[in-house]
Amino acid sequence: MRDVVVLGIGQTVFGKMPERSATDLGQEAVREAIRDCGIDPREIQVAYTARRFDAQDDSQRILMAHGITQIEMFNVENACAGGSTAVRGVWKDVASGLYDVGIAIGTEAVTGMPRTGALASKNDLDAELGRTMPVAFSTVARRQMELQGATVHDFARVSAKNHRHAMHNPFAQYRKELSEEEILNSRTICDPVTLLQCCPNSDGAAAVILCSEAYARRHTTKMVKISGSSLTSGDYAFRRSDITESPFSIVAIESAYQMAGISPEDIDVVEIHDAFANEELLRYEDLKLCERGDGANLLRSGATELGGRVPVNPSGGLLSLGHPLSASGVRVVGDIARQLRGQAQGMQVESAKVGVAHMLGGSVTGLDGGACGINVLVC
Amino acid sequence: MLMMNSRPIRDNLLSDLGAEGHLLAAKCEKCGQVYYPPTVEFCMQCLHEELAEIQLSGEGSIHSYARSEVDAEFIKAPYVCGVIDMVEGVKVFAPMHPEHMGHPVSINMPVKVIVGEVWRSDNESVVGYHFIPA
Ligand SMILES: [Zn+2]
Repeated sequence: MRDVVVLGIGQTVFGKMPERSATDLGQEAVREAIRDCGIDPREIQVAYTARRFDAQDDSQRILMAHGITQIEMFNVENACAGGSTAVRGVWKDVASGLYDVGIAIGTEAVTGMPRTGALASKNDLDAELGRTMPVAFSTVARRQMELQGATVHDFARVSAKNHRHAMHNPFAQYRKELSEEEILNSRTICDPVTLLQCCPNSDGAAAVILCSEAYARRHTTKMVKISGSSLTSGDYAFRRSDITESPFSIVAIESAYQMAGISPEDIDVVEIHDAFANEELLRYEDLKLCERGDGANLLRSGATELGGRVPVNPSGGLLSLGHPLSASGVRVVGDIARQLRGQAQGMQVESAKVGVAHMLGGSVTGLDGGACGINVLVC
Repeated sequence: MLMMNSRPIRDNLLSDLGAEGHLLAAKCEKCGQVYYPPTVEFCMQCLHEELAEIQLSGEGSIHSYARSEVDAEFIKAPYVCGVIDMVEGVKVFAPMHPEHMGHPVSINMPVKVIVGEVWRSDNESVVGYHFIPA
């Protein structure tokens, strides 16, 4: 396997844009990614596009607007990890030497859909019995509180942190500082989860252009490489004794760290799946930024805030930047690349050299999750 | 009075649609792993192909719980629901029986899972299961 460079990054603003189509959003993200690296789009040899809802030949529809036709194109779905799956696909094709340059796209247009927010899986027994996503995260939050000493104030603090971060992000759905009190006093969705501890429904798209080192040298001197990449599917739920655990997430993380040859203390910046505020604390532990059960303490230390030892979600994360499902896995790679290039402006983590882009998704009765995708970026 | 048709939430999940019904599970005859729902062709632990149909006793304890203030697709808010560690070693997700809504719920609390109507639609009674304090 050879090194793969993140050459071009692009995204749309995330938010409620019911008048825009997934194609239109995807085309804008691609335009930005091409503009970012200045390549001739007709040199792109392979494309993967992720979309969760109403997928429809999306690579073809998006890329035909950019002069890209008659190449190898894939359209993938993998819940919230769909974007990571698209990135992983291009990474494999470039790392293996099959192609020199490819594009990964994630796009989603959900707020104009008839049953907005009804994101539960069809024909899922537990979902029919009331296991919505807020319920799932709320049951996890209860155990974090009971067994790990986390409090609702910790959950509110995660949300307040990510909203504060997003104030500097021109692409964010919400750019408004929120106090912990406002977050806790917002409408209760599923106790202890309040509205402002949930990520919003969002439309948006992101794209990244990946290439070989030789190809990259013709276009840039800022070499941000993917040094570790992994994608792991969920395991049988009966194998875990505690619902706060996501073994597949840990497998994905360990595999990517090993490939990259890094230890957790090498990490300067992280972008993760924070669909619900309490989830962020679990991911600190999965990523080994702290010991198991110590997520709340890491948060309280301030380490994961901008300016701290290892800022998490400087973009604002899903909670404030927004979560167009399949776009998020691509977006996190773009955000980490921007950090390592030193171009993150108000969100910039000082002299960041190693960053981790994490995304996880899927809810399947009988499994502990759908998929987790990790990309370790270095410069 | 119009008779309601009853249908199980899934086929092959309940031993009976009445109050004396039990949840059906599959148990590997080789390694003893229990599966709920019992929709497995072979044991996912040891690949053994012979699985016995067993009835869950209904006894368990709360692994975790939630009170939802928003509707699910079929269950109207507010409702309490939980993940239950059944004594047979499997987890079962179930809503709390609405008649017991006022009862406090806590982690490790002993509960019983009972068969009964979970919702109605178009003159149809859908039979699933609830948990109640034991
Ligand atoms: Zn077995």
